[in-house]
Amino acid sequence: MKEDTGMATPSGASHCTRRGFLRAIGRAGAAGLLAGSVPTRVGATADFNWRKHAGTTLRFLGWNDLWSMTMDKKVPEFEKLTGIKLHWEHLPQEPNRQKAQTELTAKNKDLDLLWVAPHVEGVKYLRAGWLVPLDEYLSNASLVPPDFDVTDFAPGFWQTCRIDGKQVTMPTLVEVACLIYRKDLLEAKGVKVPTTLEELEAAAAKLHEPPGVYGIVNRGTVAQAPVTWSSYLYNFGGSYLDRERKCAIDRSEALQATEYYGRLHRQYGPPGMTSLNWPEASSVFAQGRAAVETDTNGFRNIFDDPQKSKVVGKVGYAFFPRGPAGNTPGVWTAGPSISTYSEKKEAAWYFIIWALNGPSQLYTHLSGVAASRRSAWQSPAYREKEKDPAWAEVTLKTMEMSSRGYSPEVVAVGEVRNRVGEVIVKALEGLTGDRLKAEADKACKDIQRIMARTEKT
Amino acid sequence: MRRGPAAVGARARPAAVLRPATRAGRGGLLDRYPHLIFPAPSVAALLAVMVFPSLFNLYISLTEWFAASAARPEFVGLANYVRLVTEDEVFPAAIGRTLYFTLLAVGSQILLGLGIALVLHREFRGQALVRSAFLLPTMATPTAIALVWVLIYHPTLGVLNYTLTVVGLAPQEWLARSQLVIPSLALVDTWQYTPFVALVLVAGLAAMPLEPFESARVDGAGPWQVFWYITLPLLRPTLVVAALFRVIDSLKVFDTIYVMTQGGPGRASETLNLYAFRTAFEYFHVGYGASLSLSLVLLVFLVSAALVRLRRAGESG
Repeated sequence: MKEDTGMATPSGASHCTRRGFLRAIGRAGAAGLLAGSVPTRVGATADFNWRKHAGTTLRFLGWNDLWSMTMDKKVPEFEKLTGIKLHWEHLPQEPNRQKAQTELTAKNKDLDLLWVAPHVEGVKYLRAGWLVPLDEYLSNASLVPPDFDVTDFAPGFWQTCRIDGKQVTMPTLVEVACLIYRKDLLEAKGVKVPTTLEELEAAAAKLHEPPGVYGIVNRGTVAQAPVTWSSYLYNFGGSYLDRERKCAIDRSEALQATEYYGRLHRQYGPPGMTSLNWPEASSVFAQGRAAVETDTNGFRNIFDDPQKSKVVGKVGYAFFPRGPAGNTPGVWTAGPSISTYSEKKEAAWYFIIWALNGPSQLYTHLSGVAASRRSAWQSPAYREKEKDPAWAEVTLKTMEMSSRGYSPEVVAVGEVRNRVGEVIVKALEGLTGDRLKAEADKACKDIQRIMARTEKT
Repeated sequence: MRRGPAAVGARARPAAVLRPATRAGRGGLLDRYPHLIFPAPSVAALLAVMVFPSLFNLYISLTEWFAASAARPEFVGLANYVRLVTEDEVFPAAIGRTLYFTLLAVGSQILLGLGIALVLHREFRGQALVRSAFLLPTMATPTAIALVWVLIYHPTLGVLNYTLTVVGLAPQEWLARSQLVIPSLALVDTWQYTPFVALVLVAGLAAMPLEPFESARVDGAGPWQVFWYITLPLLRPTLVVAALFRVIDSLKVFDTIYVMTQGGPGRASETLNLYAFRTAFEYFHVGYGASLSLSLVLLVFLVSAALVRLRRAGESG
């Protein structure tokens, strides 16, 4: 319930003003860090021995995401500070996962750091015993520099990195579900920025002018539809699993969400949405062929890029529309974790605290990659630089108000998510009512079976 | 089988006779067991890369093994196969989709390939150039082709729908529609491999004896009769070979489908190979995945055996 309060005040983009944004980060600051006390250099702390592991070489199996590519440029600074040499491999997500799993299954001692998305592979990796819980380092005063303030992280986001009561990684990437809309199209038609799911459907109907512009576009493939659908699910009051870890996508709230998602996109979406993964869906929007998309705030990097987008300067960001059960849209993070089989765990930990400390986060934040530390959002340099306060307010507040991931928290996450995706695709193809329920019931039986097979104790 | 080694031995003996007496006396291993030693490297390689993996796969298929965990494989006997036949609803559907895809793809490739072969068989200027240019699709990388076709089929931005609307036809959802996805994928396969079939058939046509055609002409047979009663029966063995190649490839098709639809929408294009891959390498149910892949081997074997039989029947007839 507490998670709803964040959404009760803002009623859409009209509140997404510079002042509103400044208020939001002001509140965040009061709750967290002491504003203005961000150290400028990591090595400034005298009583923390950064050079304890000088001479060590680390291997990091990472992604090629924006944060990693930005941070990669700072590696020489890390190596100079600590004397640790870092080999950082950057791979796209899927090849990275395959490689990581192969190496972890083979108990490769040569792998020290790996990139983990808690809501994707977190449960699987942790239960397989592949990850070192970071709690033991966090609670050891000699291993945490005094200026490393954990309370500076947005609490919802910090929670997303805790699985089975253990800290698997630290929130590094920041993505939240939000409403992305074409300011010009809404204005031209006199459509108010939707704040509820009802308003969203009405707005999509008004903006729908095929084949030129479709009312809305989102992900529609088996593997990816659940990612965008999950925010609808949560706002209708549904969930992937109930408290007893029983599949819940066949309950009435979930079915309402699925039916809504199907109807909304079938009526006002582009043809062939069941073949759209996120790159295709976002490109429909970037090409100016859709008026609204409800996806991650991270798409700003695409929509603002004149090389990839025809809608630069026309895109607005607002909170994900509220549903009957409030507003807890899906959020998503990923960050570095330490492999159980590493022989240099403590040195690997040094990289994590260096990469996640205030100055590093401020650096990436100023480079255009949203940070999870509130101090980065509060810094005068950032406030000065940010051209879109609405985007910043939406990101920061959603980060504060939700800790629900896009995916089900199960070991066999890909398999279960795909099974859910099959039901969503049926809804997108037009299945409704009892037949949709029957489909969801069948999926739930399969999901229970998959969980029984993969989560033996 | 019995004839093979003995024949090798018989051929090897005269060579041994020619050797100097000293060496023959010692009777080197090479002289005594050439039929065992010469093929040994190939046999070893074959064991390592074919027999061992197959047997290991068979063993894995008898275990329950969730590889994305610390758990070890657990021997479960035939449980995976029992589940395959009695419990799994996806399995028969995947076989159905595989056969449907194969029928559409190979059927159209043979028909089109035959037509093209008959054209290419005639003498004309630049024949060699046309034949080589014709082979280009077959030489291209399937993944690259798949990515290009994804763009062509794109429901809103694709050139195919654009063309359809320009000539006044309704745009289609191609890969995004359950009913259309397999025919759309078969079309890509046809585009890529028809030239291959045509080329095999051109070779078959070139190797035909001329006499039957001459005598048919003397007897006053029309072109259709010549084609139906002479060309086609003579070409039958070649047709079966071309079909065999394509059928085997189509039954185990993977790359284009994986790149273009990942088996979607829903499961509408999840063929048996894709299902096996996904089960073993995406979901990490390695044991069950192994049993699925063995069923695919069995399916390929049965269909190929039927085709080979067809060819033999043709020969004896």
